[in-house]
Amino acid sequence: MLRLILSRLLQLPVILVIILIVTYAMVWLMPGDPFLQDGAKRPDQATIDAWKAEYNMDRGPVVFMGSYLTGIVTEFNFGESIKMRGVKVSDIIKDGMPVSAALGLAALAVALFLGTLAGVVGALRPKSAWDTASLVTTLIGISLPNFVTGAILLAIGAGLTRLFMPDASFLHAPLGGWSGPANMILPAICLGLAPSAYIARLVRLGLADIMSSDFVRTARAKGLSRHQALFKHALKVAYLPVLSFLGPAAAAAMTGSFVVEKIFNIPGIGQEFVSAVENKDQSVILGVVLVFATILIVFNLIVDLAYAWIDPRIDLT
Amino acid sequence: MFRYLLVVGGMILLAIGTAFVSFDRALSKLPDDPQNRGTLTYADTSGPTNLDPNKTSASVDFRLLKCMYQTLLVYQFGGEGLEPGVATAIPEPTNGGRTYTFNLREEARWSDGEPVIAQDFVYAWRRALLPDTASDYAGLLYKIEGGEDFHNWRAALVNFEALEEKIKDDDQRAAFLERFPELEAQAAVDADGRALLTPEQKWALTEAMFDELVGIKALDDHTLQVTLEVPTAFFLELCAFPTFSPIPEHVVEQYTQFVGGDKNDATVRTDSTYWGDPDRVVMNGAYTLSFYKLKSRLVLDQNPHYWAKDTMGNLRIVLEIVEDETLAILLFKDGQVDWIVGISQPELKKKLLSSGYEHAHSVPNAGTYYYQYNCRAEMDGKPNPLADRRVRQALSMCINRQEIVDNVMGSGESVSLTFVPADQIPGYDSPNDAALGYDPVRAAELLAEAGYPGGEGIPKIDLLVNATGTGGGANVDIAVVIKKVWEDELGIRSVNISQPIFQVYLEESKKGNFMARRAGWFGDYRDPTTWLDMLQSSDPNNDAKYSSPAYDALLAAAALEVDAQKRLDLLRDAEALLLQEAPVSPIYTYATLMIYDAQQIDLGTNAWNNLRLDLVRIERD
Repeated sequence: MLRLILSRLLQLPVILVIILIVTYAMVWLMPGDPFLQDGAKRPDQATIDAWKAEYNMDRGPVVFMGSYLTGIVTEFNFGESIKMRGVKVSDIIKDGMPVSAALGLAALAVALFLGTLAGVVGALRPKSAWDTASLVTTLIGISLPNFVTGAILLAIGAGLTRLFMPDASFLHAPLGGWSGPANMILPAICLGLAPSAYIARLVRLGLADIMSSDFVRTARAKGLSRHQALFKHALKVAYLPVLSFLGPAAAAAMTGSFVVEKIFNIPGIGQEFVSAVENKDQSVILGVVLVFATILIVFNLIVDLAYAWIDPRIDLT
Repeated sequence: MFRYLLVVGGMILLAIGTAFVSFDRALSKLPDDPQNRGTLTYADTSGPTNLDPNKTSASVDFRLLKCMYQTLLVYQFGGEGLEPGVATAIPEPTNGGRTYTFNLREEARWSDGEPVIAQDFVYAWRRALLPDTASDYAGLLYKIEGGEDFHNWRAALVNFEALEEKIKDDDQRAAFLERFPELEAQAAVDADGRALLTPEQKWALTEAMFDELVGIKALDDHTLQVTLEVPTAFFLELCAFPTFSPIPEHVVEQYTQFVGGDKNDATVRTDSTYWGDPDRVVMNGAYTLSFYKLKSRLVLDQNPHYWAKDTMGNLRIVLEIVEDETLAILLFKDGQVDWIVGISQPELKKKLLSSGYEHAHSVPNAGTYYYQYNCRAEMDGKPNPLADRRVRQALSMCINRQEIVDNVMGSGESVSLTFVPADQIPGYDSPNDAALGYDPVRAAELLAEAGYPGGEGIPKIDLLVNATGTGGGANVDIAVVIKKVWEDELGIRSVNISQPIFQVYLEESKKGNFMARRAGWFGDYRDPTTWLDMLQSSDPNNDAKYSSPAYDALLAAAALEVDAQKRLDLLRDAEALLLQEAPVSPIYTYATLMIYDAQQIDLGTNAWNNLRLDLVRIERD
């Protein structure tokens, strides 16, 4: 186990450097000039060249990439944003990442809770009204895009409550922003709905399969009730596919959702990445990609370890 | 099951823990506020792009910088005229209109309590002129005697090769080097490309050259004298422009150093993170920066050392950065913001205005939305039909501006037939008689005269617009309307609308890769040259390469004209010529749709966006 962790962690910098180089190659090939701006008279070329020199972009892609990597290794310096002068990429990540991570974790908790609940209900009472309801709900969860669910949640949680219960301010969900725990509720539900639908389907299908397997039948024959067999034995095994889904899902949720962050005005990293790509703000793109890639790799490692923790038969070595 | 609950519970706790680290800091309590002046909260879709006053050019930054730094002169509430800022009075020019002597207030202070002195202005303006700073608006300081020469001299001193880029004309460059015979030796490098003089030696030469060459002098701590190249009618307007803000030399110098690195680089650079750092930045305006969280919120609090703090209408300004305009409106309705600086989504604008929403206010702007035509003789090695002015006139006369304003925009914009917005510059008489109005019949005749009867023989016209960024989707809607009239009315076989993302649109514009493109320009200062200069043959903004010796000559004559009215008449003639030559088709004058409760606040809105937020009072119910 320890050897696995060490070898993965040793691979990490190599993978990240490759990802950075590939990303930078794509950014470099992208059309557009980040130093041009609308609404301002264009300075002469020498001034534009001076800007480029400020960002170490005046001596070609190889020199830039070399100095960028050196800056990260020696000073943990990810450079500066072109579009927001004087703002370090590390500050953008430092400000945006905890927000997106907190929201992502809350969304995953919502997804796990709702998804497991719906999946177990569906497995325990197949073809019942509960099962149908959970199936329909999961279908809606998967089908509806975030901007629709976000708008609906905002309309109900923040709009209708104010309209019909103006005095019950404790029921008024915040209209956006990121100033307290209440700000997390609606966006977490919005972001957690789609993964909860996947989890529900995975749990339901897994349980339906496992509940008819030999070891559960044996457990039942030993006198365990259906519920006991499910929660003690079946759910653990049925959860394995959920775990493998959880790795990339956690990385995706934690790295922010452009749509949800925009709808609820949350200052996360998701919005930042999209605007950086639009503006060809290369240091921001590289910095954010680096963080995203790290999170994805680390989460996949955590999932692999969780696999072994939950099911001792799995040998990772 | 226990493990499962442990995982979910752990995640929730971790989420809440992480969230608490990242929550925006609550606003601190306002200081004693017996006059109940309170807080002005406004929403904008983006935060500042650069809070370095000498360097930036974005309106979102200017709005904040006018609160954070006080210039020599400032606009009155309502933007009509100028009034003294750090200066005690508006000076009368001397020396044939070339010299202005400003007396500075002795009570003016920086936010650290230090007095604002004339040297702070000298230092800031010199910094804006230095090519090292790469100021967006360094060109505005070229009005000052020796400004442009100093800028070019310093650029060549740091990197001699830059001179070819700065002064493209060989004769002019030779004349420049004749004036500075030692420059080439001072900028020399050895065989390895390393400079012979150290950065410190070059800086000493630079300071001496600035003092010798440039007409910005601190006569004493409270007297600043500025001498211009030629009398410039709008110079006092520039003295209220954020690029001309002072900065505290005693603080900024601590964060300024030579870039160094390889080749002994003598470039001087200020730590760019200083300007947006509430713990370090020092200001002399009505407010100081007390909090800034990216993409979230920026807070300005009353500067305790501001000399006129008793006149302030509010003690705090909060910028809420809300990217989604619909959400901003919800926040406004909920009373969380007092003012939304502008709604840009066309559909939302129309909806607000058509529903008669009482808090939606359309404010006309001194800005022109226009189409620009490529005037190069050839494109891609083939003759360019738009090089013929009759073709450009035909295209222009086919545009039904009223239809665009009514049906596409519909949020307070007005038809514009002139490049310089009409009635926005005192004393300037717009050349409406020279404007090309909507006349599709005459347009078809002109096209036939140019050798393309019924549009026959005209190759495909590439129309470049941006679908994202400024103007967004409305640009495409307008392009579709114009494409239809060009094809239907003029018989042009094919108009291809190209709609790349914003940065690509800007790059293609700069390269001149278009036959026609949408463009827009908001005036920087109240003078026609803020628009007209852009179409001079040598101007870096002249993407369409329109080149008219007559037009250039009129602008050059206007630049030398001392008599204010004669100068404006020359500029009027230049614009009349421009409208007839039709390198551009003005379409409409911009309007901003602001949201605020007029019963609660009077913003003193004006077309030039010269707001005095420090004087805005909030009358809460």
